[in-house]
Amino acid sequence: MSGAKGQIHDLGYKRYVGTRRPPSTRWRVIARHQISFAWKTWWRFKAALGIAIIATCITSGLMLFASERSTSVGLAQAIVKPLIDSALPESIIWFCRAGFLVSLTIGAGVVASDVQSGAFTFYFARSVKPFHYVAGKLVGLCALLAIIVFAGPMVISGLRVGIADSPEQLIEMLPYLGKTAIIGAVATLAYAAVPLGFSALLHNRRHALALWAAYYLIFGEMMHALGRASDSSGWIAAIDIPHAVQALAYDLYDIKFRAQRDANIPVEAAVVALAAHVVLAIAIVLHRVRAAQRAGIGGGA
Amino acid sequence: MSVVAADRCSKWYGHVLGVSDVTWNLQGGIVGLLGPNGAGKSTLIKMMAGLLRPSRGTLSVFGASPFADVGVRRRIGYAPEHESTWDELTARELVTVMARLAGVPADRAPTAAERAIAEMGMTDAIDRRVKGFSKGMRQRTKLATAIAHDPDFLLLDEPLTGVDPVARVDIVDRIKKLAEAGKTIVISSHVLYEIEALTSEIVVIYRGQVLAEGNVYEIRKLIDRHPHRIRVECDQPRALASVLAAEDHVARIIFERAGVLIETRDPDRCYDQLAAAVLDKGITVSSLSSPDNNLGAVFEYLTGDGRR
Amino acid sequence: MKHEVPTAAATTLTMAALTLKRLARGRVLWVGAIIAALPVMFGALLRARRGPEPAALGDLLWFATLLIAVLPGLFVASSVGEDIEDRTTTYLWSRPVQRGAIVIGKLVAILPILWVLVLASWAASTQVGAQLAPTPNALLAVAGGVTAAAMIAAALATLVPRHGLALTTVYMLFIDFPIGALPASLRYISVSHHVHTIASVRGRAADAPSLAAIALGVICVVWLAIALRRISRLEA
Repeated sequence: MSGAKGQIHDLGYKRYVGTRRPPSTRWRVIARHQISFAWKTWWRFKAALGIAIIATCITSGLMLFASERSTSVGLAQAIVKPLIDSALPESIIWFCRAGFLVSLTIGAGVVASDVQSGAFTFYFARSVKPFHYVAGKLVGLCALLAIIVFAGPMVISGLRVGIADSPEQLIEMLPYLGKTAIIGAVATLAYAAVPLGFSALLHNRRHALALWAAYYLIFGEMMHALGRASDSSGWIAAIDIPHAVQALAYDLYDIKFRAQRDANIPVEAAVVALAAHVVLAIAIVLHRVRAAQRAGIGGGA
Repeated sequence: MSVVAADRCSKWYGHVLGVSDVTWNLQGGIVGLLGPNGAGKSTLIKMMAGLLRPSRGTLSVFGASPFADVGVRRRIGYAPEHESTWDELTARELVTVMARLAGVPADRAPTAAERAIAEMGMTDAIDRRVKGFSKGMRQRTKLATAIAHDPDFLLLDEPLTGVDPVARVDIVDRIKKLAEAGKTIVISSHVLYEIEALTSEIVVIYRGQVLAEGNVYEIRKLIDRHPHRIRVECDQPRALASVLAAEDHVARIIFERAGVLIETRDPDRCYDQLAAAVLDKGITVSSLSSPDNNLGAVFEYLTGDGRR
Repeated sequence: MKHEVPTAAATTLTMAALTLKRLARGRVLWVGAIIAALPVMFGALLRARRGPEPAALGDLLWFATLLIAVLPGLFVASSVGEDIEDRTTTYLWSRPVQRGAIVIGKLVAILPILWVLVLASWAASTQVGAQLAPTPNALLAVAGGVTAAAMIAAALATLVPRHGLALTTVYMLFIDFPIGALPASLRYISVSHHVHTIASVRGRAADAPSLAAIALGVICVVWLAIALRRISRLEA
């Protein structure tokens, strides 16, 4: 139309001329989408959030109830004080359960769903790199899980600090907050990254989910049972994610007693096992997503 | 007896309206169900196939409710619009299973499947898994599943979508043969010329309502009278407008921020004159588009939305 | 000549054959076999660590119960939910067949596979871990548990097709297992409670195994009825 011969006429498409975000921020869009997707139905995320809120309320209630009786003397105080101290570490396992629930409804199907539905086309037809995709998905899942396994324990730990008997005790209790933040962050990362790793292992969402459930429930429980059966060391039991998180909590909170049903997991073992889980899972996701992108699986070029 | 009798039939999906107050009688032959995406074609077809229950009103096929009456469904052959099938199966296995579920005895089902696949020109791929099929092959396999049990009434939901032009001609011929064999066929599409190639009887559906039914040529005339809009973004809109304003086919010229919007009753002539005017006046055109290049705009015109 | 409407039995058999063919060509059997092998691996590892002392049957039964929480979901909820989610049900429901027969056909194909996987896993894990042959009671308990969990999975998959597997696992873990551990009559709705009662591997159980077997049967019927009612009302 402009007069030049052989020119392809523009029939409506207009190049976007506004400002563009740098490609390095693409992961934020993916993360935001992940969060909004999870929030849409009540049982995808909100059911787990409900469990976390119930766990927070019950634990807080127990601590408040016990703290009102902590001024009594003698035997009563000897019973009540450990009860207040152990309430948070004992509650961690419930937050882990809620985290597992999120991993079942969202986490373990993330990558496989995208491959199955052909959503890779939408991601990789744009200037999204596998790293952006993995970072976005991981951050999105971490944000969701942090609401459950990070925020819940932080509320309880804030309450624990708040019900200190004296200013001296309050100052003494302050590190509690930092310790809880460490435990919450580690649990968040573990419950976000490991299911994500499983979701990248298989291209069928349901198969990936079943494999993750079997690994977490059966294999993890097996390793924990083996660790419990062995008197020498609880290293093998650290492969069980919830018990590894709980072992870390016990150590940081300096809780000496443990339930008979629990294996004696050394804190180094817990840290190493959790770190190995996370690193391995992220490596698997990156490798699989890169391979899928190169192969054009899911419609991507 | 009518093949299909719909009486004030409506269907809602929650608050979303699928089909609204449709009263329609189909006696036989081949009928095109025409409408833009989301008009309610698939909803109407699914109700006829017994997959959806009307929210209000009644819809019967051969005098019975297809949702409640299992028996009437043996006379219906349905090819859905979606592509999902059991990809692990071969075309032969898929069509045989569908024939058996439609009541063809076990000993006759393989022969019926082979015949249906052959009728759809898929014999060469009969033992290949559906997973590796192209879109066109999938469409043919779907059609084979719909005809394998020799139904009286065929419901084909967008059977030509995604099919290349050569295959399209072939599929159209095969559907015509089915109609010649005495089948009643309802075929949906949002592309007018696809339907025109098959039948002259159409039902225009838009926003869940039957807008028009009857002969395609009459409706075609109505569509041709619909003023066509062309948006031109250029550096000299007034110069361009002055050339075109004198033409009798130009109904209106509206000046916009970056150009002009021309309403014409003869788009082909208008495009030719536009090109000539641009060359003569040395106008630089940055974009040229038509908001009316879709069936939705035509339907808006038919409903009156576009004339207000 | 128009064909007759297929009988419920014919539909069931056709659907069973279709389901078996799809299972045989997919990966789900392999995934299921890997999961079912885990308790056997546990038995072997425990025996290797503990030496001649046999593994506690109670521990092994716990892992069999976990299999019951995962495997029926994988097979049944996936098969039923996938058809609804992928809309392949439109092919089936537009045919002159009873929708209930479609679900039953899938169960007819899948249940024997589940029985083989879980019973083989149970038998092998007791043999390897405890050097004991499985008792008929325990075999019946595990088979009954798998059947009940399969019915639960079918019902949940018709209610929430996309998340049938996750919800079945969550139901078993967060509702069935805790209820089964309650010292209250509510535990009679728990599959895991009845499995442990019928298996009687931890000595004398609180309830009679025959009563538990009847209760397990009732659980199966109730959940199957939910699945059939739901599927008959679903729209595609």
